[in-house]
Amino acid sequence: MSVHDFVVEYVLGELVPEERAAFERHLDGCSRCSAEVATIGEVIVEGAFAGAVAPPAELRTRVLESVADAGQVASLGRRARWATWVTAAAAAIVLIVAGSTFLARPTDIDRIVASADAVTVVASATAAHAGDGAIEVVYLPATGEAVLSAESLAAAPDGQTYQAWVIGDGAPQPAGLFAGGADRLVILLEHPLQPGDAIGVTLEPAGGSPAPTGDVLFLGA
Amino acid sequence: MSNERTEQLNAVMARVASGDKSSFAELYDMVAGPVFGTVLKVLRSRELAEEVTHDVFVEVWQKARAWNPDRGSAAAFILTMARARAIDRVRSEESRKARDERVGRAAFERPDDHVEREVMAGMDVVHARALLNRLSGAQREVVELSFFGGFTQAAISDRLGIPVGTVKSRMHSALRAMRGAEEVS
Repeated sequence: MSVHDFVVEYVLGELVPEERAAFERHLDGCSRCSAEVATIGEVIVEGAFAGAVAPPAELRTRVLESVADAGQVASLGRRARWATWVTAAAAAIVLIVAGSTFLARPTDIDRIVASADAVTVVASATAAHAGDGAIEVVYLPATGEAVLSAESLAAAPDGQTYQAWVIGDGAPQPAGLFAGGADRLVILLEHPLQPGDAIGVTLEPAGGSPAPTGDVLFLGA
Repeated sequence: MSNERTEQLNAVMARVASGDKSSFAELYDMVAGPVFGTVLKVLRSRELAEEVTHDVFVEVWQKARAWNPDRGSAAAFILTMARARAIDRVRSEESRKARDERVGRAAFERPDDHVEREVMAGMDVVHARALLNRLSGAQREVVELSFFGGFTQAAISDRLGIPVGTVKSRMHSALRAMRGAEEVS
């Protein structure tokens, strides 16, 4: 199957989530395919406007209500968004795993994120050079299992990696490495997160560090 | 005509991406019909289509910052997402068999009349017709089933009893022909 076939299937919405995520990563580096997606996309738009069907008025109310909540409490919306991330990120996880020393099993990630007991921690940018990325951790207080997601995080500079840290009473504990540079990525943390712990993210030399050496870029508790 | 719409939508989307919730209602009003139409054609159930349309708009709000104009207009970003989510929904929540039964029922509706009716109700009838008129009968058939019938290429292959590779090559050449017409117009 040629890349061009993927362009058509991508625009037609026919790729399965893993293929879609992989193709979106390809688009990040391929201006030719991006331009193809843009032009073919306009044909789809014409078709959709020609085949418009008015939705019921109450749907508008429901959508606007959901959006009004989404930026604030957002636990439900966030959960729903996580669910889509996890599926879409399944292919990305494989790549991340290849570059690090631990194994993230999508089934674990799914189970943690989907759990009614999951608690979300937002790690906020604490340094100007953290960029526009957003990092969140969802964990299960009962077991300490935790999943970190990063959205729109800039790629780590050459020779460096992002490293997550679980910060409890003692020294920060290394909790996993990730590269950034994808629209979104999801990893299973290697160190349990307990209520009251904070989560930090630094840039470290490739391979990671036993204790943080870089500035804390993101911090949440 | 469509350029003006594209630019208006892009401008509203840019405001939404900057976190402006008051612009979201405007965005909704501009694309709710095309989104609902797209999703409804794939799902063939108003109830499911309303649910997926709701989720698509919430996702549009949440991911507005991920919209990259290099990869297409705001309308294309939203409608590609709508179609993908509808197809995901068909794949994940419904058995293949249930889908086939509905496809079978839909066949009794004489899809060509159905398509005609939907198209005539649309906003850009003339432009869409002009694009479709560029196509051969075989190309037009796959495009109409895909865009207006909401079928995946695999489903079109089943329905027409032709190999999926043939559907794909017809779709590919049809899109290229329509895209040529877009650029000229």
